[in-house]
Formats: sequence, structure tokens, C-alpha cells
Amino acid sequence: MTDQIGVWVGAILTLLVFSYLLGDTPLFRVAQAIFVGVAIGYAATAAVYWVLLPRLFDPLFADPILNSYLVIPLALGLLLLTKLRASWAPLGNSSIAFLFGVGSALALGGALGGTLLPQLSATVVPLDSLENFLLVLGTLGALLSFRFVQPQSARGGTHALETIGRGWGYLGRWFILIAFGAIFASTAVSRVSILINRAYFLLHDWIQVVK
Amino acid sequence: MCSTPNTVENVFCSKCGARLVPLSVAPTAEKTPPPAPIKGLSLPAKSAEPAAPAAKEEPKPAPVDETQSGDWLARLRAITPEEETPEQPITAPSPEPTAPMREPAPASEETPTWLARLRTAPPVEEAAPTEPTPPRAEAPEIAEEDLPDWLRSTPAPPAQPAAPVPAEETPSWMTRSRGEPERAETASPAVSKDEIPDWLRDSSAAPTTEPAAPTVEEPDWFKPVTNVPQVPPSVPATEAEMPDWLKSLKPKEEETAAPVETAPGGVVSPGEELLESLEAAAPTALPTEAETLAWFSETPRAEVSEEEYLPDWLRTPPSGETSAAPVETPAEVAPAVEPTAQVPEWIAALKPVEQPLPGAFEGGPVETSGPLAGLRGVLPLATAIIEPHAPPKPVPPSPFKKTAHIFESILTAPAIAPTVPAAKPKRRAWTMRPLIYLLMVLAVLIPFFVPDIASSSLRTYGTPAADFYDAIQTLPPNVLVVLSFDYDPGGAGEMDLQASALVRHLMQRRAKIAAISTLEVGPQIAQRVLDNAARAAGNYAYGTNYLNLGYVPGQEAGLAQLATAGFAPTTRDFSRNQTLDKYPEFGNIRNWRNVALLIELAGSAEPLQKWMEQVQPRAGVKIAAGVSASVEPRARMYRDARQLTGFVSGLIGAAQYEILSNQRGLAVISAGAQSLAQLVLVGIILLGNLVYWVSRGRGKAK
Repeated sequence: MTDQIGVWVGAILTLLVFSYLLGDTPLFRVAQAIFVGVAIGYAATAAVYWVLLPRLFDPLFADPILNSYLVIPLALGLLLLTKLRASWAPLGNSSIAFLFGVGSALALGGALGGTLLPQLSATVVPLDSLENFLLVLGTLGALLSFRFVQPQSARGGTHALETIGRGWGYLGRWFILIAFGAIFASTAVSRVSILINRAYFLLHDWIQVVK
Repeated sequence: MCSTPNTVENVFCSKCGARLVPLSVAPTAEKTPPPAPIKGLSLPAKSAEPAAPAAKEEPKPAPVDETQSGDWLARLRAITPEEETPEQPITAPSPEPTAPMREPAPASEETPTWLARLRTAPPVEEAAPTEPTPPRAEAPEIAEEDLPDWLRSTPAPPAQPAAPVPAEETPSWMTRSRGEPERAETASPAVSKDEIPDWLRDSSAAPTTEPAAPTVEEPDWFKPVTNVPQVPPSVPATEAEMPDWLKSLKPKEEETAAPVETAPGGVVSPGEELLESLEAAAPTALPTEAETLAWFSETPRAEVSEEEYLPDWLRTPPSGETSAAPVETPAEVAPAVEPTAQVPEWIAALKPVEQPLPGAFEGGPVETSGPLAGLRGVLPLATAIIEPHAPPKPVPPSPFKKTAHIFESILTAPAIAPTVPAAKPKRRAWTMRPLIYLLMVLAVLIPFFVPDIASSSLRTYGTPAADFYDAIQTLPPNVLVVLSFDYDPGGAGEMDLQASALVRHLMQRRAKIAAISTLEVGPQIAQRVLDNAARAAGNYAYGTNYLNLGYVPGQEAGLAQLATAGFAPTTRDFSRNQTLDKYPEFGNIRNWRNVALLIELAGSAEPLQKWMEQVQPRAGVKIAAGVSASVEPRARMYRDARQLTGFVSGLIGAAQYEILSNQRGLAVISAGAQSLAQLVLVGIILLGNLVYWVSRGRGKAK
């Protein structure tokens, strides 16, 4: 019985979302509001039951002396609440600064060691295949396409290098356009997959015309 | 002249270019120190008369009858305003020796003959300033017969070197202005108290409480004038020469000369000093009649201008001092003027009515009302308005002027009721949208009824999904595999198929599965997928074969901490809320070395990037990913860099994995619908572009 109620609620909400095909109807707005409200409520509950209680209050109340260091995150968290009032908001700047500082440091360090350097090393490949050649050609061309300055007076060999770099950058722009097209196509495919899943839910779980 | 106010330094008018400085300026200005800057009248910047500061140290001339100097105010207009600095010469003693002789003020009410002759004399040549100027004492060359009687009878005072005025000789009114305590004996050291008349004694005893002016209410415009610091009368007036109105003001008859005797040692009052400077300037600096008309006409305007143009002694009067000075001036200036009803007589007499220079104000309008009635040219602003001005510059014709008549004709046209056509029923523009919707629905639904329409054509060899399959297939039994469910319910329609296929394959390989999530909604999804897969497998138990460790907060920081420190013993699972210690089968999860494979199920690019940047470099664990189709470019990038062991992308990847793992299911059926829908999308895009180009070609042809 509970599953049937869930199926009906899911089916109705799915149809409400599909009503957007007719325009920005109130039915769609109702479904949207329900989705946002449920998501936020669920996230808040999860934060209390899976973060604050097991990781902060329970250890602090169980052994305050041993876990006295938890007072620091508790204070920082309480200072964040001062952001609710404009006159007290500056008190929460330290917490925000801590969050932004730690987040930025981790993001920059991670991007350097987890993405940039491995990708650069992956570009250094032997040009023994068409795939590797296109990889090097496209990577360097994409980088050259973002070169917006040029020397004021190019002469001799410098002029030739300038011409080659400009042409290579123009080719790299086409690689970028192809990459953007691939990203857009993959996103469209992803959304079609979700549509198929909803159609299967309506036909299989709700109407049950598909086995 | 245009009557435009000019700065003091201007020699020529900034507007009309007229000369402001008369050509008969005394050349002696070159030898004298520059005068103190005087704020005020925009009269010619003629240098101050050098004799003016020196005159303060000069011995006091013989007493002059007050009534004989009745035209002193008129002559006051004939001098430049630079000479009207009564306080400065007193407070700053001149270093130069005192000019020996100076003409006292003429005593007669009319202009003396010597002055009249000077006025009619030809103007001084312009080259005069370059010539050396004789000393001031030699400047007046007046015959003795031209001097007034009172002056002739007065013995010439001996020349004295300039010396600072002793403090004892400073009059009381000046000490009060300096803020010094008043000393009664300094006011008139040579006069005993017996010689001072009673009325003057009274006034000197309480000068601040008993104003000598009449009690008639003063008009507002004249109040500042009445607060002028009063100067003791410098020229005694005889009884016979005193006007009637002045006699009436005196409480008693026998005192008039006392103020004259108050400064025997050379201390002069500002009025006297002004008069002396006037007389000293007359022979050399007296302008001709034509020049006088030019610059003299500005004097009234400067006087009626802002307060800042007033001299300091007139602008900031000492508080509470209202003495009998107004009594002295009106008698000299205009005794014949009839006062108005509101203005007291002695104040009305201050009006500069009598004009000794005929024709000086001929160009100005005559005032017909008010205190200035009968005067001409006292308001130069009115004169400036009346004067002909330069013709206005021609304004360039506006470009809209030519077409303005069209707008005017529209405005003047009679209003015509617009004929409203019959309202036609709204016709909705026809678009391709319904057709596109219909095609998409058919492309999605048909494969569910015809399952084999596209699934048989899926290629699996050499794909990233095949690498992923090989990675799981090579895992030994009972190894620990961590699954991170980092997608929300919005992406579950696509990601659930991948997760189910992967979990089933892992359960086939008898791997111990630990699920986590960096999203709050992830643990719920993970629990559902694992429970369904375990139920299908039949021999998989929660806590023994698989475990849901729930939400990992902190984003990058949480993942970095997880990668460095591993799972804490106090970590609680999602389903039973028990600590990790209660699950001995998963005790080795605290160290990443015991994790055989990490599978990241990412519905967006951010979770995959975080895992690749925060965990993979730190923990060194082997990572494979199941991602949404929209994240495939990012996953392929990591896979090409050998950072990912393999990945499964979208619905097609799930179908490939089902085929590889020999567990055909919903993903394979959905892949048929996906392929057909993609074909429809391609057809729609091509058709739309074709229609666009055809319609564009028709538009150009037309």
C-alpha cells in the first residue's frame, strides 16, 4: 500500500513537471516548490542527524575534557548564526574567512596536483599515432587560441612564428568548438535518459502496461 | 564703464576693458611699501597713498570746526578706498619718517578754491608714475591765500620722526577695540575732567549703555552702520557753525572740542586720518573730472554690495559701543536732507545726497523712493541693466526646426475618432513544438513495446565500460570496494541503471561493498540500490557484505581528511546508526591500502573532480567512475591521463555494462529508446536548419 501511494505521488508530480511543456503553469510551480522544499528539509535534517549530533554534540557531551577542541568548531558555527542580523554580521566574518580560506587552499592545491599536472603529463605523448597527434595538436591549438596579444613589430623569423601561432590558434578554436558541441550533446543525451526513465516509470510502475 | 565688479588688482575692467585706474595716480606709490590688502571695493587698484600710514604719527593739526568740514564725506568719495583704512595705520607704525606738513581739511562747507582749481586742471600725464615723486610733504603746493581761514590761523606743527604710538596716547575707543582694558586717562590726557562737558563725561563713563543716537527706530539696512565703532569727534565745532539738529542732540551746549583734545600727541582717529589722507592725496592723486566720473560711479555700488566689501572697522563693530559718531557725520554730509518718516534725521543725513562733482551720476537712474530718493546712479546694477548689451550670439538652427511644422500640423489638426477594426479572433502562431513533442514521445515509448529495435547494435569492445568491467572482473573475492553515490534524485533516472549494474556485478564477484556519499541525499539512494541488489543476489547481508557509511560532510575538506586519515572508528552507518567498531568485517576500511577499488558515481562534474583532486593524489587508490552522460568529457579526460581505471557513461554505458556482465535488463531496453530518441533529435535539428536556410533564401529573393 505504501509503495502504491509512493507510485501515485511520483506519477502525479511527474505529470506536473511535464505540464511545463504547455508553459510556465502553476502546476509546474507547485511541483517545483515541493521539490525544493523537500530537498532543503531533507538536507537540514541530514545535517543535524549526521553531522552535528554524531560529530559535535555527542562527543562533546560524552567527554567534554577529552573533546574540548570541539569548542572551536562550535564557536565558529555559532558565529555563523550572527549573519542572520545585519548589525551582528561582522562577528561571523571569522567563520566565513575560515571556510573560504580552507576551501580555497584545498581547491587550488587539489587542482594543481590532481588535474593540471596530470593533464600536462598526459599531453606529453609520442606522436606515433593519429590519436596522439590530434591530442597534441588540439591541446596546443586550444592554448594558442587564448593568446590575445601579439608583438608590435614582427620581422623575419618572428613574423613566421607569429603567423604559425595565429593559424594554430585558429585551428585550436575549432577544437574548442567541437568540445563544446560534445558537451552539449552529452548533456542532451543525459536529459533524454532521464525522460526515458520517467516514461518507463509511468508505463511500468503506474499504468503497468509495460512488463 | 560697464559697472562690472572687478577685483582690486584689476587695472582694466575684465568685461569692457575700460581703465579702472585713473591716470593721475600719484607716482609716490613706488617709494612706499605696498599697502595692506584691502578687501572691498572694486575700484582702481591704485596704490595706497604713502602719506596715509605716516599721517598717524604726524602731529595733530589744528582743531577744525566740524561744520567747516561738511563736505568731507563728499570728498571721501573722491579718494580711493585703499585710503580708507582707519585702523591699520594706527596699529602698525610706519617706519618712515613722518611727512612734515599736511593740509588739514578745508573748513568751509563748499569745496575750497584750491581744490576746485585742481579739478579743473589738466590730468596728470601717464608717464608721471615713472618719474620720481617728490616727498609727500612737498606735494601740496597751495598758496596761502587758498587755504581756509582756520588752517591759516593754525601754526604748522613741527615735523616729527615716525614713532609708534605710545599706549598711553591710544584713545579709549581704540583700546577697547584691541581688547585692552580701558584707561580713562589715555582718552584725553591733556584735558582735565573739569574741562570735559557733562554730557561727554556721561557718555565716556558709560559708553556702552547709553547710545547717543536718537531713540527713533532704525531700519534694518542701517543697523550695521549704527554699530560702527565710534570715534571721538576730532574737530571741534563752534556753537555757531553747528547745525540745529546737532544742537538739539546735545544735552548741554558747552562741549564740542573735548574730543579734539583727546589726541594731542599725534594719535588721530580714523576719521581724521582719512581726512588727512584725503587732503594729502588731493594735489597729486585727485582725478580729473572725466576720470572721476568713471571710477567714482562705482563707489556707491561697492558700498551697497555685500558686507565683505565694507572696511573692517565698519564690518565688525565692537559690541555695545554706540557712541556719538553718527552725530558727527550727518552734520557734515547732508544737513539739508529731509528725513523720511521711519528714518531718523541723523541717519537720513548720512545719505550721500550732495554731490560735489557735477555730472558724476548723470548716467544712472534717479531713485524716487526710499532713503536714496533723489540720488542718481547709486544702484549700479540698475545702470548695468539699462546699458545696452552686446547682441546675443546667433544660435545655430536646430535640425528639428525644419520638421517642427509637421508636429505642429498634427497638433492643430482636428481630432478624428480612430476607426477600430472589428476584433479578429486571436490566432495562435503555429510552431514546430507540438510536432517535436510528439516525435520525442513516440521515440521514447516505442522501444518499450519493441525491445529489440536498437539494443542489438551496441558495441562493447574497446570502450571505457569494458575497461571498467575488466577492473571489477579481476578483483579477488572479499576485497573491499568503496562506492560513492554522488548524485541526487534528479539524476537517478540515469545513474540508478549504472549503479544497479555495477553493484550486481560486484556482488557476483563477492566483494564487500561500503557505500558513502558527499551529498546529503546520496546515502538514501545508496541504501535503496544496495538493498535491491542484495535482495536480487539473495546471499548478501547488510553489515556483513555491504555497509552504508552515510554522508561525508565537508566537501573538499572532508574528502581530504578522509584521504589522509581514513575512516574514523566513530563513523556511524546510515541504516543502523552504529559505529564502525560494530562491523568487524569492515574494520580494515580505516586504511586506504585495504581498499581495492573506489567507484565514484557522479551525476555532475564537481564530485568527480573533488575525488580526483583530493583523494586520488593523497590516497593513491585505484578509482573508476560511473558518470552521467553530461560528465563524460570530463571523465574521458581523466581516463586518458590514466587517473581513472575506467568509466561508465550514461544510459548507453549502463547498457554496455549489462551486456558485458551478461545481465541484460532495463538499461538495455532503455538504450534502444535512447538511440531512437537521439536519431529523432538529429533529424529535427537537420530539418530545422533546412527550413531556416530555405526561408532565408526566400526572404533574400523577395
